[in-house]
Amino acid sequence: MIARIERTLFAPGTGRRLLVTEVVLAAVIGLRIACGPYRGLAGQPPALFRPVSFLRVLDAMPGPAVILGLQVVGTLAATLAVAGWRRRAAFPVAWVCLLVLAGLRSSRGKILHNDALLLLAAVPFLLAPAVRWRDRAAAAPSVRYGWPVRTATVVVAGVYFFSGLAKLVHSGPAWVVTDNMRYVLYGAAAGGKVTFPEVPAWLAGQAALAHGLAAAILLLELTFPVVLVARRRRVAAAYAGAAVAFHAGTWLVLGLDYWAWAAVAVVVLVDCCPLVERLSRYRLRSPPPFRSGAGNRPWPVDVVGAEACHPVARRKKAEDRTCEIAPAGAHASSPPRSPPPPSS
Amino acid sequence: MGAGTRAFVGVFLTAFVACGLFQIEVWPLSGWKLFSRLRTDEVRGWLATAVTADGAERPIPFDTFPAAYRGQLHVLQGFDDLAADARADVCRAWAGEMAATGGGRVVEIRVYATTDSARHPDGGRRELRHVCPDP
Repeated sequence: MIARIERTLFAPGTGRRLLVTEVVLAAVIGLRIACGPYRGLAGQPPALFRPVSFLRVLDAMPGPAVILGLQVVGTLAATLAVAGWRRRAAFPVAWVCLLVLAGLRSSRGKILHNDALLLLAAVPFLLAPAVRWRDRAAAAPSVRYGWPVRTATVVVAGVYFFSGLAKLVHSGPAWVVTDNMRYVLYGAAAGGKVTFPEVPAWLAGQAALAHGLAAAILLLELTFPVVLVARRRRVAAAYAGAAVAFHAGTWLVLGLDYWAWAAVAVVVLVDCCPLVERLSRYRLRSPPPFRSGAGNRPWPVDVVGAEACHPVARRKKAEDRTCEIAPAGAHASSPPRSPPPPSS
Repeated sequence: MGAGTRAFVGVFLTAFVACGLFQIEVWPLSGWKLFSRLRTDEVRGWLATAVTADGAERPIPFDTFPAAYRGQLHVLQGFDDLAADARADVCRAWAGEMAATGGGRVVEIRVYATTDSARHPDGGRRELRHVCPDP
């Protein structure tokens, strides 16, 4: 049993998959930090402060300077992690900033889960090995690169499964077979959070549809761990698609912001590397930008060379000698220099 | 892959699974009790109202307050368990924000337990549970 769990967790994966997943997670972390309503938390009277877990060391909500500082540092660190500059240090800094900011947001009394999946799925990447897209080794599957994505997959599958399990534990089959979902929808329609309250109001009036919706949600959540054992990639992609539809629906009918969950489900469950490679090929085919003015220069060769030396390009243009990296300032499209013709 | 990494993954996933299985809340680890409680037509809730100097009583407009004040429902749920001075501090915080946002001087804050219908919300019944005089 333990050996089987180990084989599942520590299955080989490519460095490229690891890199793409980490970069997208860093981007989502950065967006959550930059766009979250954290500045409004500053100035909270201490009597209203209800700190979660590790924030119990604080007596009150931090001041505006601390919150703004966390947002600036976190956004900057996430940007650096996306750009690939000192990612091993930048990613954990961004993660810690989001952990504290989202923890403060949850310290008003209600435990919020909006960022919990993102934070937990990103934990394995805090210790993930450094990798670059162009590394030859990054294309070959290895256990060294596989475990962070596999562990994040376990987290994603587990979060959905435990959400379904909690429904069964607290409510049992009544969660589906009673009018539970209809009352949730009636509450949402009257609550004032929803952009289009007619949608939950209409759905609540359709008993069969509401029961079907509840059954579909419970089925999706309880069967989510299938992604851990399914051999076909399409199964994981289908669950990611279902998660996106689920969270889009949650926003539409309940007005709840769970886009970070949808993003995490997609990036962790779907191997985006083929898409990235296709985009790289597209970029190679697109013409260099035309610049008017003096010189009318095409891209300098250090840029063109770097793109053309992408492994995909190497396969396509093995014989293309422009792949040799030329010093900055020289030009790829420049014809080879020949001695000037002798003047007559 | 080193033993340290394996141990890290093992400890992390054990904590994650334990919290999920046994419904333990150690945020961001969680029991994931999202919408797990059964809803019925009867909706029980809380309402905090403010009585201003002119004698008018109206619900405290939490929706117009900054994000820092938006956890009011959960603060109200635990209101019974608070000590008298902690309740007074909470009321003082709400009254202060109401005055700061142009709601006027508050002379009293009242906390009601409410019961309403989800399908036909009409204000329902409310029972006065706490009064904070001169917050």
